[in-house]
Amino acid sequence: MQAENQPHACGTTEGKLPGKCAAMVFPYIAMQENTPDTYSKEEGLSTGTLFPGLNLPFFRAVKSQMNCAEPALCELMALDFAVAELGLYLDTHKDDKDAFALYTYYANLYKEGKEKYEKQYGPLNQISTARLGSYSWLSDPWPWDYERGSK
Amino acid sequence: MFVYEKKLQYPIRIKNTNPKLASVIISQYGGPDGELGASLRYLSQRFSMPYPELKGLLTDIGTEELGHLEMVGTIVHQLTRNLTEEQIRTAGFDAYFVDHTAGVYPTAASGFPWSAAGIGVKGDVICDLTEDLAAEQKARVTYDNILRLSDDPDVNDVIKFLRAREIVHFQRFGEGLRLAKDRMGEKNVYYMNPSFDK
Repeated sequence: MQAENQPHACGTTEGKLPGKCAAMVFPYIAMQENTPDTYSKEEGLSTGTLFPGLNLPFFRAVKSQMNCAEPALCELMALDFAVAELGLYLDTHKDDKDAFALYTYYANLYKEGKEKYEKQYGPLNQISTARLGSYSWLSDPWPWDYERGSK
Repeated sequence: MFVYEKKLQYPIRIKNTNPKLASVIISQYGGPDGELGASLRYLSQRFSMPYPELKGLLTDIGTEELGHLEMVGTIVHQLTRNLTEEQIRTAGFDAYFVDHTAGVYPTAASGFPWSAAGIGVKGDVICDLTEDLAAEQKARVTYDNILRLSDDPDVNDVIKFLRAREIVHFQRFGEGLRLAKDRMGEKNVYYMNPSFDK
């Protein structure tokens, strides 16, 4: 059923997306563009995303703030988070060289930071005990403990 | 394989015990839209994914969800520390307490134990990724609802983080669908199932 006044811009099996035609019967999420803006790693962790473009908070929780009792651990968490977040981004943007450079930057900092942290506070992986020289894997606290204390 | 790292993804330190709140938040541990289901859904769907981007994405998000499972367990554990006699009787926690004391058990807030009936593995790339989009939204709404029910800033801060992750994951699954469609490169993407029809 062709409308008389307006010829169809898209093909029979296509429908309109903003600025283009695309196949019908398929869900479309806009691809995040390459080299997206990023927060600092600290802000990324406290926000829950490294990308300002994906920060869509719920009105009930805008005021709450990250509760960090152990700065060295939070620093490591922030690095690890940046690596994980960029890792997911790269899974769908494997050719974004800027993002991979940032991934590499944070990954190297994480590796260094983790070894330093483990020397001071104890192993994060069981196998790290071999490098640390004693079997300190069992030392409290475990991640879910409220009492943090020294190891 | 998986290797354990002895830290949480995000810091959790909840000062005040609140068993009633724990009995609601447990749903994100073992409820229909909780983190256990999320993790098992993605890590199981991986096996029939036909394209490398999707094998990677499901592996990485499924692994992150295991970390979220640990976080939700930590919230429940800390909310039920040092309960008083009075708290186990009157705080709306008694039904959970009688079966699990202060242990962390994968169950929905309604009392229904964790069930694979809440997740789907269809063995079809478009179907599974579309399920994953819905799953992220269901988890997002559950976290919204927890934020409506909780006044504890120590808890809400962590829930806010977990909620933000659902939105990022939704975006990535959507992008995964787009990449899948590009790979299929056909006008009719329903002509066959690339997970099965080689």
